[in-house]
Amino acid sequence: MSRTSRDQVSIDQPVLSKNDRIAAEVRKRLDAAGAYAVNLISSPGSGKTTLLEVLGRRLGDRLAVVVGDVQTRRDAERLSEAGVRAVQVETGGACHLSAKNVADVLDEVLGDRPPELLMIENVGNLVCPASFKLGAHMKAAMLSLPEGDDKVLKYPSIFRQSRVLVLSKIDLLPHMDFNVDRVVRECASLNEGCQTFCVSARTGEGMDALCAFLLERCAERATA
Amino acid sequence: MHELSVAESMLDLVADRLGGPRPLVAATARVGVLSGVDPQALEFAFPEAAEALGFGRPALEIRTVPARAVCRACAAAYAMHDAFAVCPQCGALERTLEGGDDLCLESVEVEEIPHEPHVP
Repeated sequence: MSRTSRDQVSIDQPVLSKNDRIAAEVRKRLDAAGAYAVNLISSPGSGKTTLLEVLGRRLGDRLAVVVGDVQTRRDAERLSEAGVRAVQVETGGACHLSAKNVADVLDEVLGDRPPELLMIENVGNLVCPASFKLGAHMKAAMLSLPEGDDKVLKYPSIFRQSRVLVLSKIDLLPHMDFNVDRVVRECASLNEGCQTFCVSARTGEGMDALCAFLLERCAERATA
Repeated sequence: MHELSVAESMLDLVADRLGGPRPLVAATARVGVLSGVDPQALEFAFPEAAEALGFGRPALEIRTVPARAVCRACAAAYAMHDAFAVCPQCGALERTLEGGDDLCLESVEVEEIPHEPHVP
């Protein structure tokens, strides 16, 4: 009779080490092209594409966008109509972008004249995209007012990792019981260095400050 | 629900280490409170992913890892087991955090079926 024995094998490796290696390659290619990349993460419907349309109208060909979606090319079409160089990634069911998704379209989106700023619009989701590095220079978390002011500590991973918190649809503030101070305070409890921008793509409020901040990061990188 | 792709990444590391899929009895992993991975969902997803990829149906044992917190109000150090936790000394939420972002496959137990002389 055959008896089963057990053999313990040590692995001891970060689970996403393969993705991390591809992300490091993406970063090298971005740096070689002189492009500063931002991984933009938020829930569906918080206004990522709308924000990028407004950024595109202000920055012209200094901006390019990689836009991730589970399915459809609608967001890239919207951005192209707004004059933004945009490449769509369809993840085919995956709830987040991976470094390989970005690596695969990087040449196409950087083109012959690479942009200063590459915004990577992740799949709409506050949880899953936080785990996967893409090679971007920073993560930006976005939260829209209708989502409620209690979301930061419920989804700590993304707010922990983000350099920037964008509070979108800020023009709705007079109509909502949304406590901006609470969000800022809870975000600081996870991430002291996180900088908050209150913006409205509709009225343009706060867009100057956000735009200036992003261009400063591009300039910083160029002189680094 | 990215825990399924996390489980697949784990099994990818196992295949690299073992030179391909082999039946596993169990696996152990370390998951930080700020890793963005839900331990329960990962425990559920792991045997499913393993079976689909030819690793049997091993149970995944997860050790959750807290973040190290230092209260910015009273300087007390404490282990943060979830983001809603406040300082156990003074009740303040303000804190500086370190760690808690672990997502690491520690080890697997491989099923070994020893070759025994064939008895007719």
